[in-house]
Amino acid sequence: MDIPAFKSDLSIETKASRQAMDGFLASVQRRAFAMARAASGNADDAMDVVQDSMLQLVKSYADRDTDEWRKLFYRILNNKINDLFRRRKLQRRFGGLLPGLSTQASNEQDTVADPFDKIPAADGDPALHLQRQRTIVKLHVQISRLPRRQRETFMLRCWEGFSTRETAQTMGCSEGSVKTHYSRALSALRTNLDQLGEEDSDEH
Amino acid sequence: MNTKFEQSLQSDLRHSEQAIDVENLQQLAGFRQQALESATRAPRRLRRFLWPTAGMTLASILVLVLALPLSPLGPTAANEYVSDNLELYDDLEFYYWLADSEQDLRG
Repeated sequence: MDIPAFKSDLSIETKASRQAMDGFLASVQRRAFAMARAASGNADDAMDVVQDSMLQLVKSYADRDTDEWRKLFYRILNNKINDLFRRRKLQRRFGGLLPGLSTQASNEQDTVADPFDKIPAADGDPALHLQRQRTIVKLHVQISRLPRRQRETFMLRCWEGFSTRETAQTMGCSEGSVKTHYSRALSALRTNLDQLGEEDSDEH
Repeated sequence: MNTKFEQSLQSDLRHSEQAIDVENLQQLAGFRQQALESATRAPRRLRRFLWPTAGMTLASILVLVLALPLSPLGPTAANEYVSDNLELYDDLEFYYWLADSEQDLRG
């Protein structure tokens, strides 16, 4: 795992616990933002999601054992992403009635691919870099199209690298459900990415 | 990760984390500090409870101030008793005269 383990039983009021929490948030912020952006397809929404998640973790769970922070943080993150999808659904339903909402919703899809222009170039072949960049864009789009539970399972199991047990604890479901959702998510991604790959090769 | 496909996906996804530019990273660092500040500022929690408490206290004082001056205005049994007694004292000489004249008649 990339995330270092922080050992502290102190509350957030003390300097040591503040440092521990700061270190933890710093270690997850990149991935959390990337996950939220992949799921939402919008960088601004992803920022809001991460900000809310950080605030909630610190306010509600800072006094918990530091070993629990990762699971709690990702549970909060998933909940915030789901809240975002609910808000969007409302916007789509009532967007025509309230000025500004419909234009915001329609602009979301336009921004999906923009952030990946900034992926740093690898030292190797530029063509390979471009290909990887395109793969990542397609992958993010496909992740955003997965059903909610499959998306959550995939992000926790594959992206974050949680075990089946940790994923089940984070999602509040059984390990059997995690295995099912994960298997379906992988299968859907494999099929959709293969199809997109074939379409690309047909174009060339 | 069990399969090559999963490993490939994980590698791509983690590589995509590098796409976050400096501006966004600075914003994230700001959120982090904001979150930590929100937890260390204990008086803020107090403030949340202070406003409703202060509001309730002010409302209670207002009700008391408005309600108290009303009570002397209305006629009460005590006021009636006092006013009756005053009339008695005003006519005290008449009652003395009446008693004396009754005694004289009997006498």
